[in-house]
Amino acid sequence: MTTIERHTDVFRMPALGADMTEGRVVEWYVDEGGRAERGDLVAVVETDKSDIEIEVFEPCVFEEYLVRIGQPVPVGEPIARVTVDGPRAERTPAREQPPAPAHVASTTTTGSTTTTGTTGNTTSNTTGNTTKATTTTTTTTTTTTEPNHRERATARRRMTPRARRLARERGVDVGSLPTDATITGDTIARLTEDVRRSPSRADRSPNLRRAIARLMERSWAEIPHYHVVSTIDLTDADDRLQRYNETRPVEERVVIAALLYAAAARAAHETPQLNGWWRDGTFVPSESVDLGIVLALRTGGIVIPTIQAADRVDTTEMMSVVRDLVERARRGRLRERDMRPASISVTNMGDLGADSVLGVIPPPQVALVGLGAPRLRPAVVDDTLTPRLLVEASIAGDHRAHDGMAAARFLRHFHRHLEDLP
Amino acid sequence: MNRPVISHESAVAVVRDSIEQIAPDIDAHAIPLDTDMRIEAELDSMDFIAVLAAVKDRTGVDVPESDMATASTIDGCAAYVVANTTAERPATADDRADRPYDVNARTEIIES
Repeated sequence: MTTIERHTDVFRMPALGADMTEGRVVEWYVDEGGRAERGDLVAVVETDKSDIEIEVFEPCVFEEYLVRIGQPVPVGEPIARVTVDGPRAERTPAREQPPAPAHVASTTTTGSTTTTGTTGNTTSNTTGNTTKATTTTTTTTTTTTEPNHRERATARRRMTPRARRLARERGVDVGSLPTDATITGDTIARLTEDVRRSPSRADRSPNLRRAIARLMERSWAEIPHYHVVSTIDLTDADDRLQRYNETRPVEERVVIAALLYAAAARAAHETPQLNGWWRDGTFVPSESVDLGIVLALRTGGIVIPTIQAADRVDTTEMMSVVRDLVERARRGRLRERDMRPASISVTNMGDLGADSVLGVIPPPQVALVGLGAPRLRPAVVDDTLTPRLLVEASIAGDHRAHDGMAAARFLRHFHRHLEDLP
Repeated sequence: MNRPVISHESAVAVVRDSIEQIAPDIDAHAIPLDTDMRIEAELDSMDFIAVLAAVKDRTGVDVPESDMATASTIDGCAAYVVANTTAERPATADDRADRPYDVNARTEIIES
């Protein structure tokens, strides 16, 4: 970027998955006339699967909103008029979102004709009213504290538009609040009433269920699955983690799931046959390991956000990345970047789960790593029967793209990385 | 003195709030005080760490790895918080010079 040229542009409804046809802006984080830096989160778009936070890719000023809160807007349609500081580079969803992410299925919107705040019975109707500052849009948006996220440059106390609005309406003395973090609408809301509970989540279930159904039907109909399983000894890795955690405050501790994800990403890097997509009758390898993490929602259903370049994320960083993802997925506040296409996914039963899982691949990916619950089980070590912490690791493979040997190789690499990773 | 600056009831409320923050769809009041919240609320190990981190955010009390089993019930966790939030608490093995303890700062947070 050498020349700086101001120009007017439009900000369009992004495609959060190739099958998405429309979305609804349910909250603006930036006021009309407000400025956003590159990477700032500016709005929340509601889809059937999740509310997704949208960011800007170049510094700009939001001159005017072009859509009403809750109004269904087709992908690619302008949602705001902006003035961009940089060279002209209109942000088109088609360019930003190349292949089809498996995790966002099509949005056949139901009950979407209403734009007056009563969003029918299908979707998150708590978020439909944010202009009127209903406070039910769940809690702490952690967006503004993430290291990569550039804070909005402002000399005054950092507050989101919603927070300013709420503070004004409820007469909250902002001067009494701590200054070390950006004040969100939820901060204000929490001071005045209890808004932790989010009754909206169940409302999304039918749509989410249908989206998962379509994806799984397609997978099962198209993909000739095979499965390969290995039992992997986690005892030493777990001991290392215990030692690491002993001396660390709770927010820095690492659980074994983080290690499993980090090792899986590295194994995928070394097994390129499993890392990519099946498209038009041929396998297209991915250049990076973008790891989909299957997350079960308590209210039912799953979402599969993506960790980009996960093979380069170390174990401690993986822990914070995954914790953050889980928290945002639970709140139904994933981000645009979380919804980019994964090249391979992992489903992890966790320590409360079943012993093993043989998965169904989210197309167009060609492999799914399945991890059972790590458990103490009898094992033979140096000719002695001894209790060891074992995990059943499986690969669900697309037999069109590769064979069992490749999956077995993946599991060997996976095992090795579990031993090697710090 | 060892005067607690947070009552057991307040600590229980803090723990419940923390659970609901991590698992917004859980009603923490429905979790019996003396049962393992990890099982009761289906919190996996990553969730449980997040709950304890949320408790720490609210109270400044860091439950060490070795006490995590004790803190897995709401009562146990609350008791740990109370025991470690006294005005002049006795030194424990968990005290670390690099993490100064500021009773007044914590009190403000609890009461706000």
